[in-house]
Formats: sequence, C-alpha cells, structure tokens
Amino acid sequence: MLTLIRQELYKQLHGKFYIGWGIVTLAMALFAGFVYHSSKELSQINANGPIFSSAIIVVLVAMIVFASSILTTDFSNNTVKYLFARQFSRGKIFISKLVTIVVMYVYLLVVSFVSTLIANALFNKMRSIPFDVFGNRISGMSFYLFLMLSLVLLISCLFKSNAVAIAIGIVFYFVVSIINPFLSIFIYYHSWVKYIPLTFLNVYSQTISPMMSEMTKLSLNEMRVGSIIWGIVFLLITYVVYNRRNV
Amino acid sequence: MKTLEVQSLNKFFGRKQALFDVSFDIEPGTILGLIGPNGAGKSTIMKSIVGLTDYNSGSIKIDGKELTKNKRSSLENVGSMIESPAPYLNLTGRQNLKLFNDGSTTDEEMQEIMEETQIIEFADRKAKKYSLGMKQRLGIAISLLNHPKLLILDEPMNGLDPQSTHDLRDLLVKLSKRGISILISSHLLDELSRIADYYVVINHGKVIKKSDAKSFLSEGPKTIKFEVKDTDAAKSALDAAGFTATVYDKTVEIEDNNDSTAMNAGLSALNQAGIEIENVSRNQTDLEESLLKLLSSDNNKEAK
Repeated sequence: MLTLIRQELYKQLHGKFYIGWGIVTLAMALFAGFVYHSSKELSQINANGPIFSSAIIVVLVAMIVFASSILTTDFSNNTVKYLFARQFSRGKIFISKLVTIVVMYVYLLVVSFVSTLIANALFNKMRSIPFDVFGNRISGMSFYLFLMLSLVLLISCLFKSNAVAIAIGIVFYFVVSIINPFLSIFIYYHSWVKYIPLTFLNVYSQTISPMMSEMTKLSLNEMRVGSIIWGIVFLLITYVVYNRRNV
Repeated sequence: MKTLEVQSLNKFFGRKQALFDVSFDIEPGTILGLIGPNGAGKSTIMKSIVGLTDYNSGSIKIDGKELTKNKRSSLENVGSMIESPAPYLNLTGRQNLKLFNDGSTTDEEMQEIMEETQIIEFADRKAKKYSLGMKQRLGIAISLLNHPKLLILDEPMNGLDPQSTHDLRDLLVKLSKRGISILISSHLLDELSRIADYYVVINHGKVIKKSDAKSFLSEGPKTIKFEVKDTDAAKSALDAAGFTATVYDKTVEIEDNNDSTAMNAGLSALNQAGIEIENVSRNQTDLEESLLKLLSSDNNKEAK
C-alpha cells in the first residue's frame, strides 16, 4: 500500500497540478485582499475570512478537476496496464488514489492558509486571524467535498472521461444554488426528498449560514452524517465499477 | 517447478467465447513464442495472465502460486509489456523506472537495466519526446524491474530498427540464460524463430499446436527451388510430371518429400523439356510457412 501511495505522490510531484493550482489559489487570495483593500468601506473590516473563503473556492474547483482525472488518466494514457498488471489488488490501488486526493486537499488548504497570511500582510494591515471562521469554512468544505468528490469519482469511472466528470462536478456546484428554491418546495410537499444527495450538497452553505436548515429541514449534524453516508455509497459503487473494469 | 502453468483457460466476451480450454506451460529459463493470426486470442491470454482481464474458468499458476482476482502475490515475479508501451509521458525514462520500482531494485541494478535496454542516452528526456522504438525499449526496461522470473512481452519488436531488434533478441536470450522465462508474441516470425525454444500456436482462441522449435520447423513443408530462365515452361513441365509447381520471380518451387525422388523427378522433367537450369536448392521451411500451413489446415478443418 505504501508503495502505491508513494508512486501516486511521485506522479503528482512531477506533474504541474500542485504548482499550477497553488499559484491560482495564491492569486485568488491576493485578488480578494486587493479588492477589500481598494474599497473605502470594506477596508475598514477584517477581510481575512472573505480572503480565505475566496481561496478555498479555488480549492474546491481544483479538487473536482483533480478527482475527476485521477482514475481516468490511467485509462486514457493506457498506463493502467502497468498499474493493474502487478501484485497489488485494485482495492489497494483505489485506496491509494483516495489517499492521494486527501493529501492534495490538505496541501491546497495549507496553500490557502499561507496565501491568506500573505494577503493579510500585503492588504489587510496584519489584522488578527479568525481561526473559528477558518475552521468553520474548512469543516463545511470538507464534508461538501467528500460527497461531491465521491460523485465526481463515480461519474469519471462510469463515463471513462475526466472532461465529463469535471463538467458535471462544476455544474453541480452552481446548479445546486439555482435549484434550491425548487428543492425546498419539493421538501415541503414530500419530506423524504430532503434525504436525496442533492440536499446534502448544501452542507457547505448550511455550515456558513445555519439559516439554510429552514430549507433543508435537516440540522447541520444531520447534513454532515448524510454527506458521509452518501459519499460512502458513491465510493463503494465507484470501487465496484473500478474493480470490474477490464483493460 | 514450472514458471507458468495455464490450464483450461476459458474466456467469454459477452456471449462470444474468445478462449477455449487454453493450456500450456513454461519451464524456467525458456522462451515460448505465442503465435497466431490477429484476433486469435494471444493478447487476451497475456492479459489474463497478468490480471488485466478476468477469465471465466481455468487456472493460472505462476511459480507454483495460483493467481486469482484477489490473490495476486504471484505477480510479484512477473514483468510485462502488453500490446504497446505506455509510460507516463510527463516523466522522463529514469523517472518512469523509479516510479515503477517497488523498492526491490537498487540504483545500480536500475542503471544496469537502462544500459541493457539501451535507454541510458535518453533516460533524462521526457517520455513524450520518445519515438515508438524508444518507448518500446523503455517498456521492456520497466518490465525488467523488481527481478521478474517471468517476462510477458506482447509484440516487443514493433517499431524497433534492425539494430535494436538484434539487440533486443540478444538481451532476451541473455535473460533466458539467467533463468528468466519469457512468453513472447510477435508477428516478426523470422525474429521469433531465432530465439524461441517452444511455440504455442493459437487460432480462433484454441491452442492448435504446442511444440519445441526444432520439431515445429521440421514438421513443416520443405521445398526444392529450380532457378531457370523460362519459369512458365518450367512450371508446365513440372506440373505435367505430377508436381504442383509455384513460380516465384525467377524460380519455380515444388514440395520436397524428404528423400531424393522429388529432386530427381523434377530435374528429369525439366531436362526432358529442354529447360536450362541455372541452380537447384533444397530449402528448409521457415516459421512463417509452417505457421501458414498449420493455420490453413486448421481453418479448413473448421470450415468442414
């Protein structure tokens, strides 16, 4: 297992993903800091929270792109022949990919934090860091990404295409906020609708604004548990598809 | 103990059966050529052995250890290159080797592999800049990592220039002398015939022949070639004498019956027709001819 994780990380270290998205995250944090700094009214408030939020939105997009390609790239480049023709079971290979996703997520969170510190120093007069806000954002984003990335992995594995998975993943992010009013009507008439995966994709929004529970009819903890359960279901289906794939 | 034992392998693609009771084995330190036409099932057999595709029934043992979907430890001893080399293109050759090294190959051994496969001069170039031949050599280098006892090479000579083909041949013979068993498929039958110890012939998913190289060739057709000026007249004379003559450029060929009667009868028929003979030679059949004859007889059998 360690060999597989080492190999996955070796590939990432020699790729451009972590540098590219690290730069985009930094740029986004600096841009947010600059916008707050440039406005007379906004420059009066501590912008560290919004700066960090802007940075982790980049993390969200980056992770969707990353997760959607981690399984399919091996198939599209044919490198899967070397990966599967070895003593490691597909279960172990799959887990090593999940571990790599987690490592990349932690890395991008660290980049977001450091980028916020830099933006704070340059544009925010070195104001205090609101760790509780940061913790809140990270927690919401982690539950959201667990569910979203499980879905993205499944789609990428089913369609054998990372482009489709990226498109669906990113579209989902925007579509969820658009269809929320309809979702709330459905939940009002049919209470079971609140348990569908789409509802749980509001976990990040509900973490930031607890008022969302009026719409989802679920407490934040229920939202978190639901995200984990649906995430595990999607991961199990992805594993079954991955395991049965012939090369 | 045999390095590889394949027993009664059956494989279906949907309702279509692709492999029918395929069985063969490989002794340590020998080279087995898996030959047959396109679509015969060679790659499917190789993919089944390395676990790239499931099979429906049968068994595969590598170095005495059974290989199943969940028990894959026997693949520790296998290096493979199936269909075409597929290195990580954004990595250099050296990085690809480091990536696939599970830790059992030392840096010195890796250097040796790079020298043996002659990738050392471009080892620090990204694989996306490699020619097909370079990728092929890198693929073979990757398969040699981690001390394999069995090498499975599907068309390893594709894309190689004559010198590289010659070098690869030498390398494979050297590896087999070290005790590594090699299962190799190639359409370059002339090249294969220079290194293979055994052949397994596959047609329509079935093993139609298993034989050691020497007897495989000796069982094939032999010919007598008459080099003449007037090939058409020579063909008519030989056909009239009861042979089925074939014209190739400036020669006319008849089948040899392994004693001198065919040669004498042919010469006498040509002499009687007054045809000037410039040269006569007796030819041992080559692998290609043997294979074609075997496949044609198998296809005729199936047609009946």
